[in-house]
Amino acid sequence: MKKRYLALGLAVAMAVSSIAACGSSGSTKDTAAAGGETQAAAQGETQAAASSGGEIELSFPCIWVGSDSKAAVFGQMVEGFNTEYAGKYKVVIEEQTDYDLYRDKIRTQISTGDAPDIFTLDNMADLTLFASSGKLMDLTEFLASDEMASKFIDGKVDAAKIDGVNYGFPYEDAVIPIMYNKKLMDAAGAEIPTSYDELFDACEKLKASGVFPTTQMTANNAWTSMLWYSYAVAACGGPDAYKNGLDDPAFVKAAEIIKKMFDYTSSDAVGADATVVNGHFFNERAAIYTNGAWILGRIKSEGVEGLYDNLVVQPGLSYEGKNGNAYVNQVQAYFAAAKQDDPAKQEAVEAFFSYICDPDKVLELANSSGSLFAIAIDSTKLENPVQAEIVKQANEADFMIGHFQGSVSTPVANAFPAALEALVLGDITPEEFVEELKAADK
Amino acid sequence: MKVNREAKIGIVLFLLPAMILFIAFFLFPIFYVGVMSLFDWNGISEATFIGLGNYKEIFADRVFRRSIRNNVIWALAACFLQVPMALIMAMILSKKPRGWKFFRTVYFFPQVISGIAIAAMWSAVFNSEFGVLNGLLKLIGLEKYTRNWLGDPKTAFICVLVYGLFYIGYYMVIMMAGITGIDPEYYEAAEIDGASRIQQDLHITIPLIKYSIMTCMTLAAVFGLRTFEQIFFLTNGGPANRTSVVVLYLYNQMNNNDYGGANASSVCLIIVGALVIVSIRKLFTLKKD
Amino acid sequence: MARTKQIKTSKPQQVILGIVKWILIIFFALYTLFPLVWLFITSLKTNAEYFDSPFSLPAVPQWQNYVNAVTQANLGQMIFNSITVAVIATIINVLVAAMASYAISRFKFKGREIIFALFSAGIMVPLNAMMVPYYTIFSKVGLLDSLNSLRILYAAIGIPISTFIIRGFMDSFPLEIEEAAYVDGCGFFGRFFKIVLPLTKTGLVTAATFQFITCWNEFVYANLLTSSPTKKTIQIGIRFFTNQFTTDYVSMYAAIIVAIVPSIVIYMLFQEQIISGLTAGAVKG
Repeated sequence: MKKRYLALGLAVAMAVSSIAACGSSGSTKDTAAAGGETQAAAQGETQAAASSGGEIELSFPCIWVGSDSKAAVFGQMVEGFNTEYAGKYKVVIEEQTDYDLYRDKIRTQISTGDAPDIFTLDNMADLTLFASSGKLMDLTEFLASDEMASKFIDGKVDAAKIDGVNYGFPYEDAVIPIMYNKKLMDAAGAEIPTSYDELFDACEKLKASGVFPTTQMTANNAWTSMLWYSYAVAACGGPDAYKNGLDDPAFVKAAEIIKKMFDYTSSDAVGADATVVNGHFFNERAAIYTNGAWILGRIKSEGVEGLYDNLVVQPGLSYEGKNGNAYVNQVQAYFAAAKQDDPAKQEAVEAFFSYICDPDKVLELANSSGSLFAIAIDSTKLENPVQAEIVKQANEADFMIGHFQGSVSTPVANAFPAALEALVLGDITPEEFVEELKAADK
Repeated sequence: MKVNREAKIGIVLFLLPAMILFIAFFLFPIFYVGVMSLFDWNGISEATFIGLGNYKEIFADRVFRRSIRNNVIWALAACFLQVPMALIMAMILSKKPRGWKFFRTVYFFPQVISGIAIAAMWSAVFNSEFGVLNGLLKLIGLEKYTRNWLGDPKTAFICVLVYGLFYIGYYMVIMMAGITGIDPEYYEAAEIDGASRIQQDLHITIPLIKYSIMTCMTLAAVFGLRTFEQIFFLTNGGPANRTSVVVLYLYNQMNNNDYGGANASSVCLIIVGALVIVSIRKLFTLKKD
Repeated sequence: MARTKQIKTSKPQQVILGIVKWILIIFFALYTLFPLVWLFITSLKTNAEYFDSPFSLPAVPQWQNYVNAVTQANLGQMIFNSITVAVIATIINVLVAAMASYAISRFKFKGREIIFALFSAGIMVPLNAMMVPYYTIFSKVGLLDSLNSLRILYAAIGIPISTFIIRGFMDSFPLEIEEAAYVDGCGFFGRFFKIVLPLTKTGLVTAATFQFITCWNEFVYANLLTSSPTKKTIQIGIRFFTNQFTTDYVSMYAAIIVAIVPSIVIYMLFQEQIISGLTAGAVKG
């Protein structure tokens, strides 16, 4: 009996202490300072090690490994950094492939006050949340330095500020065109559309010719359909569609458009995942598709013969004569770092960030992977003609706009797939669709 | 067994390792989850105490209620369809028909294959464009029944549930191990009395592996209540949350950074599970008396 | 033998039963073989073929996928790690659970049903919701990035199910033999090691089978608690080909096939143990 009480007491004590630790992850100054002291002590040890010939090691759970298209060249970049700073700094990569697992790990580590030295995130909502832990490095000054500021495309770094502070900076910046299979369009006698009316005309012709006009999906994050919805929102609401939150009537109108697009897709669209959607477009069963430029490499290697050469990329479509020629683009990876109490370690992190933002290296990364970046590169040097065309069109676009998932809060983005299914199945009207999304945002 | 002094020491010593692991990895986290379920917490910033607010919220959510309903159906189907099938196959294979070792291994395959792969296959089977199921229906002239199985609200849940019910390997292993322990003399005696094979199964095997059956029933109920992977990889709760289950619901709460809500769902799950386990045990031990 | 016997006593009823029996056996065999066969065939395709149709046969078998899987993802090291983790975690788990089950099953002491009910409730704990507490524990004791953290965690999380299964087996064999041993002066520990463990071998092996498979298939904590490439387990290897926006499906399927082999071998070895348990069961009378 006694033992049981003892054990119970032990458990309670452990639980209480850990809850107390959670509470302190806020901004109470005393605890933060205390934490700082112990960390500084630990830091002192590292420094001692450094002075005795050791190097400063930076941990970096990296998602650009494995079969990722950026893996090879990005890996070389990290190696290059380690060689250049041999004996001084060393970035140690921890391979993280499955994105869900990676996100769980980063979230847990930050929640328990154990952030890795360097890491990436894929949206501003997470960056804002993690920054509220007080455990992220303030990069504002570093990024404002002439050397860094000149590397980025104008406005990109500012857009990543939270209350005037850069806790991270944008790196991979997806540009998302609409893609047409010219061969299938020609065979159906359909023109490349510039407005939604023309799009639906083309869809009718494509349907009659026996192919799926568009590809839609609702599984996971409903990725490609989310992109289609983003284009519809851009067309209905213009560049400021997300400024007024979900109250903008554009969201209802866009819901009507996306619902209609599901009339022109494969029968397996509800519940389809990326495999299904890509399978349809890569094998010329579907004619119109949208995805980030990074997919080009796979269209080339996994699409049927000639598909890549038949691709026509285009900006968004106009709605009621307005807001055509828009481009959806969204930062896919922000870099962030854990707050360091040791200035030498902070310098190491900055040296690494400076190294990977070098425009020549980023150009190589863009050429090897098909991805695009927030770093200003000489787009005439892009080797892939379709990729270069996308950059050209994006530069000439009337406006750029983020995609839906990246422009709304996390719960709203997560509620999108189920709401879309309900809309497509006829459970709810476009108005109710928007209401359901709003309800997710408490 | 009598509890003398030596046994007293023995009991404490024997329970100790399990208790230590249990306290560290179950009791402490359960306690932690229970306390944190009373807070509004996003996992990072400071938590605010809101009493039973999280519980009110999840019970007001129709997706949560639907998730519970789906879990209950799942648990019942596992108990009353999957376990009996496993029992029948365990009794058949225990009589060692030709190739029984081969079959015993094959039946267990689905347990060792990664859930991602099984789900990818079934998702392709149920696909409306190139799926095997629609292909079969067309072949035998039942084209009018073809549909997008996992995208159709009428069939999605049935499909996700049913395919796994025939994967009986897990329960069959437990019951075959139970049957192995039966003294062959019982059967020899019954044989002399002229009892048929089926009579022997009904009157000897089933009563004697009662505890194995109970173990299977309980595990089936519990696995049904906490099922996740099958849904997560196949429909992710779709279409329109119709196949949602509680663990998926709480996983989504975590993804929405609603840790307070996720902890409240966990507490509900643990309480329901404990009640189910104790009830099944009571039910089986009552019968004995 | 069996066949001649059947013919001798064949009544129409028995013939029908025999047919039903074989229909069932073959139905379940085909049904459970289907995923494995599909997986194997798919693992020999190209990604383009897979996208085109999930049920077609490969034009040319791509054995290269297996080379990719084993070399790129470094599956050898991972399989080795998984084996050491799973074996040690299984041994600890089954031993600890058997000891607890013995105490709970064989002795009527105060609070035993409460302890058992608590253990059982552990089965329901949604483990994926425990990332923060578990990470905190291993961080506090300094066991992060160590395979020992996985060994301890896996041994622990299997306690409820293993105890549940083993207790079921212990409950189902009669007290008499043990009592006889007790009368002969065999003590608490002697009875456990000499009588109870051998007699519940089938239960132990059953629990060990499931525990091993659980360890083998776990990936959330394998990723959370380790970070060095030398500490990765096989399930992380399978996910080596799944990236943020692209998945190399065919290589992943090849890796899955490779990962299945050890668990099937273990399963077959363990099941052989159950057969030899039959003799033990027969002796007990």
